[in-house]
Amino acid sequence: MPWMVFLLGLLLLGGTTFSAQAGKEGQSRFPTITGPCDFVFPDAHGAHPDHRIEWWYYTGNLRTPQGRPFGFQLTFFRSRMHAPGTVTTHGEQRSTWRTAQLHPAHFAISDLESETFHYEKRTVRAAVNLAGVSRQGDDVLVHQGGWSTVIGPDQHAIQAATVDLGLDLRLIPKKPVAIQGNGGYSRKGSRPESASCYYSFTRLAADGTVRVGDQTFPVTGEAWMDHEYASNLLEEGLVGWDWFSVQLDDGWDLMAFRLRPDEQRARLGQGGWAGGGLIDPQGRVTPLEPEDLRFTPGRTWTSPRSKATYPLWWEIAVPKVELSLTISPRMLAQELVSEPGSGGVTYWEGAVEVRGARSGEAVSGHGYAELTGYAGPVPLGPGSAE
Amino acid sequence: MPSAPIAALKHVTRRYRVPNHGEGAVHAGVRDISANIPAGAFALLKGASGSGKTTLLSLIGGMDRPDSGSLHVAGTILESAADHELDSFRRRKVGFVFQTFNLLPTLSVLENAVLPAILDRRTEARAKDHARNLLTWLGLEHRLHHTPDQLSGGEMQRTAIARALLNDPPLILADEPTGNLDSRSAALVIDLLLALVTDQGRTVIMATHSDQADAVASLVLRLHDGELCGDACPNLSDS
Amino acid sequence: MPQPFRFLNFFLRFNLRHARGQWARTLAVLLGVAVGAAVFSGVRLAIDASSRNLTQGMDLIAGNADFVVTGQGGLVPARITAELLTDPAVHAAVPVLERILAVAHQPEVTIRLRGTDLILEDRLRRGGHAPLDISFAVLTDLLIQPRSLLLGQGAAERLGLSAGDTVTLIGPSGPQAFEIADLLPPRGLGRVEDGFIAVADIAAVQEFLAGDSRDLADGGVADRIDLRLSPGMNDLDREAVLARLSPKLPAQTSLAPADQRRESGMMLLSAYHESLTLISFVSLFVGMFLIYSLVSLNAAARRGEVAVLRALGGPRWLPLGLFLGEGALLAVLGLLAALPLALVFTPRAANLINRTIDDLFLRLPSQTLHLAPWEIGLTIGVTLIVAVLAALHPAWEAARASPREALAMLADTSSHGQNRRITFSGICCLLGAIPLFLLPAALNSLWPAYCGVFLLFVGSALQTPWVLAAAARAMERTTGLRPALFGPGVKLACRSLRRAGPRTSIAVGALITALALYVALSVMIHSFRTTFLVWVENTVSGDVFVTPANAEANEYRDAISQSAQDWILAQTAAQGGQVLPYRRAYLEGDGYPYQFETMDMSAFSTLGSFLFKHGDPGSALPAAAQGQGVIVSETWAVRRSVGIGDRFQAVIEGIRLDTPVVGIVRDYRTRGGVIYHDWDAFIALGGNPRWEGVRIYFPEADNPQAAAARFRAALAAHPAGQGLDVTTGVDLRNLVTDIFTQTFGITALLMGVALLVAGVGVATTLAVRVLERRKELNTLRALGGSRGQIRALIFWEAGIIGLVGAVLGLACGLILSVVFIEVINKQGFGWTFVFSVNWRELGLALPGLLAAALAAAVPATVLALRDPPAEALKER
Repeated sequence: MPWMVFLLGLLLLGGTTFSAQAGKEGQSRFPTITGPCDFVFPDAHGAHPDHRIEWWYYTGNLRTPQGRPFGFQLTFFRSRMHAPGTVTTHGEQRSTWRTAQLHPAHFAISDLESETFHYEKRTVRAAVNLAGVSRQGDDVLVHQGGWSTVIGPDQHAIQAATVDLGLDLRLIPKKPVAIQGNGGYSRKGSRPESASCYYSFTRLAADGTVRVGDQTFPVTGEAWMDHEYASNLLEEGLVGWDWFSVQLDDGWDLMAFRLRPDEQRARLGQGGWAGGGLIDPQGRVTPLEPEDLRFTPGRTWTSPRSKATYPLWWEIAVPKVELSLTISPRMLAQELVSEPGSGGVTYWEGAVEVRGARSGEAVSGHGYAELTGYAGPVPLGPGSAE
Repeated sequence: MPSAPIAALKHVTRRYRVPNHGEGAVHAGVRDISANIPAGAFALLKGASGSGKTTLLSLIGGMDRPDSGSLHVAGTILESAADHELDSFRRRKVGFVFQTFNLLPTLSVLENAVLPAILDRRTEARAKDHARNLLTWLGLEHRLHHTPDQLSGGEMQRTAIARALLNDPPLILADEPTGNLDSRSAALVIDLLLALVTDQGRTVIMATHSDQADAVASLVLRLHDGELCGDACPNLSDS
Repeated sequence: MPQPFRFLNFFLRFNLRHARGQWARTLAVLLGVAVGAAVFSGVRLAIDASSRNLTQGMDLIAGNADFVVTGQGGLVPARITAELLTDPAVHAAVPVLERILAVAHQPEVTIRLRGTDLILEDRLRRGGHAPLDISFAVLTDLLIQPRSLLLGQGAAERLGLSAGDTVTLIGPSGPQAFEIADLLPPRGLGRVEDGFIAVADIAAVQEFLAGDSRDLADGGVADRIDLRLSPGMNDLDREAVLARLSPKLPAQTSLAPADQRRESGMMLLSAYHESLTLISFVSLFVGMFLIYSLVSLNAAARRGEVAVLRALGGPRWLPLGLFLGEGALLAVLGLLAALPLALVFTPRAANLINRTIDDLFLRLPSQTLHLAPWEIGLTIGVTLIVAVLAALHPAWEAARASPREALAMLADTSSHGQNRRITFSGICCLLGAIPLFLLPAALNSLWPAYCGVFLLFVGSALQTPWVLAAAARAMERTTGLRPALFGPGVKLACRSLRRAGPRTSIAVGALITALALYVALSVMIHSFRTTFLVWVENTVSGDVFVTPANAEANEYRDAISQSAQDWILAQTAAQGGQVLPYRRAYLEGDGYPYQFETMDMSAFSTLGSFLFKHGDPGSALPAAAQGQGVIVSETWAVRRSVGIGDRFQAVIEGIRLDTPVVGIVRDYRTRGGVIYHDWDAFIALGGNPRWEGVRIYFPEADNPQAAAARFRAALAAHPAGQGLDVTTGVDLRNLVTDIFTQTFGITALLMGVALLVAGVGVATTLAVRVLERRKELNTLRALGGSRGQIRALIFWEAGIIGLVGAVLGLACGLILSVVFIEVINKQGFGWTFVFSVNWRELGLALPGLLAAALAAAVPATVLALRDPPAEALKER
């Protein structure tokens, strides 16, 4: 749930006019989500511009014909800087550069064989064709600079490139779209309006190329796509979250997350939330409630760059379906660092190995994990969208 | 008594042109001078102005080089000595007393007297003691810190003598030392010079046109038109 | 005691006590050295400051940009930013829109308003030397609030504003209030324009500047787009990227390296900097000359003491060291005295130079003074070296004093052949100067010309011996006809001058230099003024000038609004006048900036005129009016060695021009030169017919000035007049003239200093001559000569020296004035003037010079009569 990254970024705007405004008016001006989202495709693939945040998030595990493994992440964010209707331009003249929307994007490749991690974060505004979301027939195009995803009825075509890094994949859904939560209504806290609209493509067959430096590799693999949007700020007392997507060899998929409370609340046993979804090989979704999930963090790793200590080994159990999994990182250093002072969020997002058992049967697979809020105290004050 | 010559001149010649305001130049200097001056002598160089005695004195004192001939003075071969050897010669082997005193106007009596030691790179402190002694011997103990413009002619010349003696040279050269003095100071200076010979065993060579020192001189060299003329010199009186 | 300390000890006793006796003279030299050192370091610091202001300022504005997309004299469609960003090798692309704007109710204050896509700009500048340094919260505020900006601290302090206040800027459509979201810290971008800068989002600035909604369509316009490629790319990769990007750009844009503007700006300034550097060295040489004079005097006066030291066995290097040391000590003390002077002078000099550059050349992005410590070290080092060099000749002379001279024996004469050698080397210098004057164009530098000027002075000075001798002989013969009338002094003076040595030559040389400079500068200024005024009256013709506000500072990027245009046409017609609209594009070519101006050439030929330097007006103007050629300014042609018939080729706003040069005209608009093209012909090629400026004429009016004033008042009162600068022709021409007059202020200073120094040199030389001939003069007294006759002798010497100096100086000066006009100005600015001499002004100077020479003789007369004649008898 990388949207959390972004929300955390917005949280960092303590004491500014923006957050003040959002605190007083934003809650009432942005639309709220309190029930099922009524997704209608392909429209739902497009943007929901009145909501504060939105993302199209792709991760996956790839390999070359020779078996050289890669992990990738490509995420397109949309963020609305102010609530609809709160700002008007005086006078008739309106520059086409004026927009309420920003489009950050994150792109990362884990070269698991050489144990190197490459990433790039960029933000532009959604104006003058710098970035945006548009319909082209039945296709939905989300682009930022030269990076894009084209979501069609039968496939997603994603691509991104910098001088050092490149990705070009065709993703074909192997299961129908998985609507998370209750018809897309995915709770993120104790209050009903702390929620998002959320659907996933939990199993996409990937085919294409990965470029690292001058070398281009043909790859195939499995990818996961999330599309989520929301308007309400996180509840108080949050310090971070841990999110996992798992694709098991027997065709089952698991999405699980937990939100971590601060120390004070943790001691009192307050705060926090959890949730997820279990998707069977045919694509049927079983939503998971907080009490359905058990997270046990294990061994940690300390980043030499940010000095943060991340638990990279986990035990996740869903007792009601007798599922217990051990998550381990396929590579240690998969951290996206933001410079101190840039206000951005530093988080860990990387390819993981999964082993475990379901109903006594051994299972294995792979997936992606996202761990946030470990890089020291979250700096209050200005933050950037990157 | 026989003693080795302190100055041995053989066919010394030095000629040069002197500008004579507006009408070309005249020739001056000495020609083919051969003479020996024994150590311990009180020698006089006598002659009219323009006779070359100043030139000869400057040659003996290492202040000029001969055009030809040889000059052995106080153990130094002057005609072939290098510049720095001549400088050193003038510092240590010769003490000069000038007609116009030639004290440095910005230095005090004591500082003027000590000048040769400074030039010889010796410690000033010790030289100052020696200079004080000399100046006291010369009767200038109450004038040590006066500047030349505060002194009489005789006092200036006595300072010059102290200066000439500071480095203990064997040879004292005096160019008309009494020329600018009254008769009493002049007699005093001659007595001092004589004392240097008789009491201290130095050699004094004095260029003069007066007869005042004739009585005490042990050797007289007469010059006329740049040449030694011995007894065959014309009777001259300078005015 | 170690050797150096002993020497120092002796040195202080020998020199310092002597200096006490002549404290006035020593103090005067110290003052001269102090002034020289202060001016030297001050001007150098000012040059450094202006260079740094230009380069650093432009660097701050450019940030990390590698390249820039420009509009070939016009604006750039901002939408191509998106296209550029799709290339993976482009790290950031930032559209930039900037204007210099006036602040409401603050006539003296202008602010550079800068609008960019702040998010992209942050990306471009991050990790560089001028990061944007704005928090994300403030940045989004600027994106959201339509009329908000960040104000630089310089402006905030000046206007007494802080975050949350409002500042009203005057744009093309009138005043507009902006909220100050925050203040820009005085780092990076906040230092540009000394803090008189405001940063806003490009949307806000586009809306503010838009004439109508068409201006905003489809992404609107930008001045340029700054590009930063991915870091770590080598040159080959970058070339490949540029080759990839260029075809994607629209027709009227091109790609250029980001530092091109800075480089061409520096090129434009280079000649001015060279001239200033020369002035700084000249001031130092003034100090050198004074040291030379004083040490000469001292060495001559104390030659006897030196002889005594040598007689006592002091080595030859001792007197050399003593007088070199004196020179060095004078330098050190002078430097100490220079410190307070420099503290006063330097900021003023820097201010003057900054303003001159701003007025004449190009806008300096900031005008602060940066003090480089190494410059101070340079000043100290150079002053010491120059002082020791100055003292070298007299010290050397002193060291040559033979010990024999202590015996009052006269030194050997020098042979007369020396004079012949001196004259010959002088002629060699003069001949050698000629090729140097022809070099500047080839080497693109003024240094050969300045070396040539130096050789000219030296060569002229070296002619002194024979000229002095000849003058003395002639004077002797002339006055000999009536000896009773003139007295014996003149004959003696003439005789002694006939054998004057090199020291006299040097003093006369100083006199020649001073007079030559005076003559040359006077001729140059007079020529300039005459030609310039004719140009201003004819080419800068017009009764009223109307442009958008601060048009020149904004490089004429804006147009006069349609409503204003309509009003102007109507009003002009009503008053029976004529309009001459024009457009101006700021371009770069061959490493220099220049301007491209379009106006109706046939109309102009009746309303004003060009001053043709090359080409026939009769055929050139009609050809230009038909669009069959361009008329170019002399500056532009000279810098590129272009002549009549050569072709002017450029791409301007997408229009390809290839047209012959039909006329080269005098033009004193300084910013690189102008190409004049006919208005209609350019429109026919596809040019934009918008008015970027307009001149209004009232040829039929009885009183054009009154008509102009009426027009101006009416426009100022009308809403159409908002956002426009309206100036009457008279005011404009006066302003332009004033700017140029100011820049000559520094030359007047130079002239004064030169004359003063020459006076000191003459005085010292005469004093030295007196000292050297002490015996002679005292003998004259002893023989019964009166004080008056001695004085007369010295005055005659001074008079003859002055006359020789005047004659040689005038000749040298006239040659020099030609060099100034045809070589130095031409190379430095690219323009020339019509040679014109104000003989009356020159005529007035000569008697003044003679009077000064006679006045300079007074100290020497005092010196000559100081001692009683009996002194003569003491020495043989």
